[in-house]
Amino acid sequence: MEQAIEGTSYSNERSRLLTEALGKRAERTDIGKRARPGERIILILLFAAGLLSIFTTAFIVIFLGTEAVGFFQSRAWIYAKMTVVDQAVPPVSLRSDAEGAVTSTDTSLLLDLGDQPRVPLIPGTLIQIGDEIMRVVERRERSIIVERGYDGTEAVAHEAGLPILALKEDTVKITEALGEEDVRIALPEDVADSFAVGDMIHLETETMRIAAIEGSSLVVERGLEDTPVRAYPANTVVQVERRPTLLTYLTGTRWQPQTGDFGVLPLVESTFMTTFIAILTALPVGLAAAIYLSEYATQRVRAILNPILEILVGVPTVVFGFFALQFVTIGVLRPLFGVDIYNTLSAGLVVGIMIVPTIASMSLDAMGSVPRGLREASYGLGATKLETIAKVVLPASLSGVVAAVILGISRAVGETMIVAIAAGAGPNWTFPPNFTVGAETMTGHIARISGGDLSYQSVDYSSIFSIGLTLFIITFLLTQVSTYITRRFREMYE
Amino acid sequence: MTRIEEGVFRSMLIGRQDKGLTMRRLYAASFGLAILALVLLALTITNEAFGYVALVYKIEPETISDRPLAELNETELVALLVEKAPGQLPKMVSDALSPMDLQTFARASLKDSLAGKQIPAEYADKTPADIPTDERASVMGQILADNLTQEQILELIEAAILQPTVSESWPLFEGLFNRRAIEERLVELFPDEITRPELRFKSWLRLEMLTKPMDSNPLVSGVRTALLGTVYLLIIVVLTAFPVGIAAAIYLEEYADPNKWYNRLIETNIRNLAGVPSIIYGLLGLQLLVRFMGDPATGGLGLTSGQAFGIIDGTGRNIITAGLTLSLLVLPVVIINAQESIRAVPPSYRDASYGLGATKWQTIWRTVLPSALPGILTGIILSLSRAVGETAPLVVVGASTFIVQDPGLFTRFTALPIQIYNWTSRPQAGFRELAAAAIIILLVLLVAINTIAFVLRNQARRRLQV
Repeated sequence: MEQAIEGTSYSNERSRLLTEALGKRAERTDIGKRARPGERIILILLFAAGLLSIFTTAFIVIFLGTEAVGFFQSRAWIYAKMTVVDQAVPPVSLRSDAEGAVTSTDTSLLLDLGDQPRVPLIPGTLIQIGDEIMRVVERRERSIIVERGYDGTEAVAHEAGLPILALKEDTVKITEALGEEDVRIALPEDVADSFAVGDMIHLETETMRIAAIEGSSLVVERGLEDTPVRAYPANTVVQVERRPTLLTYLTGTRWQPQTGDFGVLPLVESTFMTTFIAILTALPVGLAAAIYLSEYATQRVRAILNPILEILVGVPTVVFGFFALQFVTIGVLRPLFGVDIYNTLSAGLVVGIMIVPTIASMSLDAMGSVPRGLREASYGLGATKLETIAKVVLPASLSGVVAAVILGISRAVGETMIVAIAAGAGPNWTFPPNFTVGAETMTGHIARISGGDLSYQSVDYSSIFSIGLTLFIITFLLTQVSTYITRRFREMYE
Repeated sequence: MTRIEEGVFRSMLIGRQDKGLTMRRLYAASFGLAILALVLLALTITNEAFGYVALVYKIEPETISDRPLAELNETELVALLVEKAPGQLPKMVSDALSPMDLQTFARASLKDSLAGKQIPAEYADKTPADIPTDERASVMGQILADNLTQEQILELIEAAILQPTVSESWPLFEGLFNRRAIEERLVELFPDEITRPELRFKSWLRLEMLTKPMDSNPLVSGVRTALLGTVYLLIIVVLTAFPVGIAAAIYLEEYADPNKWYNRLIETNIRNLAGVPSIIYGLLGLQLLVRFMGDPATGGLGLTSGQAFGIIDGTGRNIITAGLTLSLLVLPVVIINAQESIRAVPPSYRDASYGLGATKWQTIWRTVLPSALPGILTGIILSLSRAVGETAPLVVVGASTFIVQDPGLFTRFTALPIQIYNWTSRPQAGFRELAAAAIIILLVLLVAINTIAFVLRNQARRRLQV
């Protein structure tokens, strides 16, 4: 600090002397301000390095933006009337076998039941993993035997850890064979009301539009979008088109791309649930630490205490995630409160521990820049140290503390590994918020979905970018607010 | 204004000061909490990385020998191997004693493949393939018995014949303080006393972890491939992020005119980038480096997947894309730190240099950068530590979770934090413990990096003072 001040006055003095001696030529003669011709190449390289950051931001914005637009133009073909059975059941997930995955020919799937083996995977149930539908043939204690590639879906390899959705088996099937020339599709009695005129439907790969609904049959336009027109036997499954729209995306309370539900709210909700708990933990601890360091601690004590905060900063988040699961959840919260093995409470608490140093160091800076005179004045009026802190120092540094908290929120919102490990793997909308059950956050969802080899054309691929864009906007705004507040605050005392 | 009696004032003052003292203790207690969290973290990791296991053997040790295995000598142990697993002996010899891989070993003469080891003289010129099938096992057994210690042979027997798997595992403290409950649980699991496994202490952290590749059996799995992945990532970050970051910092501090809009834009932009969540960088890497610069089969340029350099089966999900993603991630931190250290170099140093006739670049290169070096190094420690522990962008860019072969530049890869994440989320007994052991290795690596950088920084500082 002192050096900088000395530097400024030195520079002023220097330019004053130069101007005095050389007059207007000073600007041109000052060698420190000019690069020689050969050095211009170096300058260009240096400038390019600086420019890289602009490209980084530009690419982030462009990619997130274009893929998000692509997401809202994407379409998913959904089995008509197929719904996920019982949302209350936590999603069962594929347990990893030795090599950590299911091949396209395995018929025995190991299950990771978490703690609740009450999952209706009775024989006959249809389950969906990724895009593939399977039919349960036999239920064993820790595994199921399935028929792969049911309903014309393709049997493919799956990563371990994917959620298994139990589906109601009432896919709509055509009741009579459909010839190449036919435009009338016969359906069972009571299902026509689940279609509307104008809906796009799929029979295998052929796209059709519903022109009219007559009783229990549909009149369709065949072979749209250059799809081949073919004949279909009876019992071919009918799929309907589902598109994510901005409205359903922002207001929907279910995120289940497999069934055409694209509501981001469950992900946003759990992100803010963990963030809320995190701030509730980190604010008192971080602020108290900052007050202690700034107002009470001597130089020597500071030298001992500062490294503790630095170690906390240095712990990788995946280690904190392990801690959240093994200690906070399994060691403390479960025995005491009987929470689920994955829950937002424990993830939030540990994210809180992670952001304590952020809040402490920024608040410390803010308190450090409160002028000494203000404190002295307060003591002069007879205030005790605590009263000075509470009534003078804190109010004077309030905006800095607020900026610290906002930056902390931004960190907590963007934190991935702790929530990916401890908060759960399956979007879960709870209202009112339930902190004791598992719920997937935005970041956790991106990490889980992108874990496998995603096809660049799939809805899942573009969906993680639209979630990423949402996340980017939230954190960007928070950082801006924090910077704005810090800047306002700096002007107060200088 | 009301006057307060002196006695009342004094008692109020004592109250106010007491309150101050209480709050002071509370403030100090916040550090108690932070320390507690760190201690609990360390205890949790220790608790999981060491513990007790019940091993179930494919073949019970008692059934293959009358005496306890530990009492047998080398020759007797090898005899067991020759009897129970004759086909595996050449591989054991090649793995344990020869630098060659199994296929080369089979075609090389014993004196070449086992140079410096004791080998039966009559077979020295023969290759393992030359030795008649009925003799091969006993010759190989002879070589093992001559060159290995009894403990090493016991390990071989364990891996080849007994093939233990973890049936159940308990953390350290439970094993130490709640032994009875564990034994009751064992009785419940294995009602038959003869087949009931013995409760054994097990340190999941083993030195061999560093050299053994991943395995689906947690008892023998190592972190070699993951550790290599992490080291490669670090090298890429050091080679790309640091030159670029320091260059950008020099530009911003020494050349950029802060009144120009584009320079201000770069400054603000770098500060904003520092606040972008790491997973967003993962998405950037996935789209830009993996997809658009990656596999031509999916419309990429083939640069990062290696097709442009003649590699055929690259997918773009490799060390290079992951390393460059991490570089982009740490770049803002590197720039900001380097800027601060360059700014702290007194302007008089620069003028002294100009005064001696140095050009601007000579001044920067010979005067400013050396003086700023300690500060820049500190920034580098910070960002390297961050790069080592960063997991989310690697997951998004497409790190694999099960890699047995040492990674190359364009092959699939894994890294230590990815392995920890994967093992933590596995439900089978043994993997969370393995994750704890891997965490210890990761933390040791972090401490090592910090120490090296600390020493470097101090040296740089001392050189300046002379």
